[in-house]
Amino acid sequence: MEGPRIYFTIPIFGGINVNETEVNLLIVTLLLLVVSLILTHKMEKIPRKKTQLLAEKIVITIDNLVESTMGKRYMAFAPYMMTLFASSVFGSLISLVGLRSTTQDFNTTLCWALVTAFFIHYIGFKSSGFKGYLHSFAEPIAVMTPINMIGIVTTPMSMALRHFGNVLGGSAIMTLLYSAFAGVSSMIHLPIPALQVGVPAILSLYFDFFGGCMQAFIFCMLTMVYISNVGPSDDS
Amino acid sequence: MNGITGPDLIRAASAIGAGLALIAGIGPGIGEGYAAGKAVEAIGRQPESSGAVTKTLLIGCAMAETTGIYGLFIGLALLFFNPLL
Amino acid sequence: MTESVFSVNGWQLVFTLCNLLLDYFILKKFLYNPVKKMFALRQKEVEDVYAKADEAQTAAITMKTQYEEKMASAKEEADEIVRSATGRAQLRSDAMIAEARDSAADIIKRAGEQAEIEKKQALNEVKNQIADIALQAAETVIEKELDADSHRRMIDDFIESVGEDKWQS
Repeated sequence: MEGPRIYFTIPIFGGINVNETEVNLLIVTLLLLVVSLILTHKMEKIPRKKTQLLAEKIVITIDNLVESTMGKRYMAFAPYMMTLFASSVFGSLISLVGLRSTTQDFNTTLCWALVTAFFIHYIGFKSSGFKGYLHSFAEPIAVMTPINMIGIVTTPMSMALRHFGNVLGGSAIMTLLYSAFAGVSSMIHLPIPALQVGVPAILSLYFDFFGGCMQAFIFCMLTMVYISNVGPSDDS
Repeated sequence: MNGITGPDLIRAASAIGAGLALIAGIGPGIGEGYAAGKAVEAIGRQPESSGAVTKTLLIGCAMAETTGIYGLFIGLALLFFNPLL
Repeated sequence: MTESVFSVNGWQLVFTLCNLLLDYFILKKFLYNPVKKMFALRQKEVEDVYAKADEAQTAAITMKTQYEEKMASAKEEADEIVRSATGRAQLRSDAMIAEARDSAADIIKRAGEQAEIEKKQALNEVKNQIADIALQAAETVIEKELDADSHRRMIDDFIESVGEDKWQS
């Protein structure tokens, strides 16, 4: 099991590595750009094209999800949630065409989790002020303060590790399966590596496709829940 | 039993450790099964709220799975990118 | 050359953050906002259509109210005309009847008066004739010229004392 390949190193600041994950992140970005342009190409007031219907469906779904999870006051987060979900899904799904998943790199998921943590603390700070923000660590009782302090670190850590671990686990199992099927194929002297092509594809569908979508959804849901929990609720 | 060096010992111990780490999978397995059973019950009682129940179930399962993922992560780390070697 | 499977790399974190921001702007600018704008346009159009329909309905209702008002006032007017005409006709007929009654009463009254006067004249004439006859009779009896005036008075008194009832019957 290997980490992302390093393509070249920029010789400044003691050497910045340009690796597979970063390149794939750019590929995902380009993919997102192309997909968005295709989906919103020549939109009309009365939708006639399937692409426009799809685009509208996506936006409505995201809006509804954000509204039902976070409430109306956080509707500004809808595009960010869309970004997070799309980045995660596309990042995981590019493994289907043989590229390395961007989410199979701890740095990627950690970055996303850190952004979530930033929002959590920023909104907590903004909604309840400096004193209220500090006081929120002593909730519900003062004894909980150390545990809440640990929570500052563990929340993004667990989010990042969950996503990364799931993708990595799926990838590890797939790698093991590939080598196992390769061994079986060579053992029974198949002329073509039929087992390697056929059987893992079905499992790949589960680990890469289902797992990828699932983790993206969960990451977004957790982000929304965490963010909307620190701020004041809709009722107050 | 000559020729067994320190790294060999570490590898062997790591393999055992990885196996032990995956015991962590038991907890989430039981927990998620229980949660899914409860979700089925809830949907059976109130089929109209199946969407909300499913969403909550997925989130809950993901949370419950975290410990299992940690165990899996430790196991993978010991097998594939062992920090001790 | 590969990176390690599990490592934290500051530069890569920064790069990922920038990439996330880039993704955010791309999706917001090219997918989210255009679709939202389309929704807003559609919403506006629907609202416009509804506003127009409301306007038309309001106008129709106003027209209907006006029409109804006009109808009601016309009916009232007609009623008024009929009523006033009836009233006037009634008055006129009343007046005519009253006049007729008056004139009839007048005629009756005058006729009565006339009759009375004639009766009186006739009575007086009869009285005078009787007095003359009585006088002539007395003259012939007495053969003597009587003092016409005093005798006439005497006869008149006699007639008065006999009473009108006897004369008339």
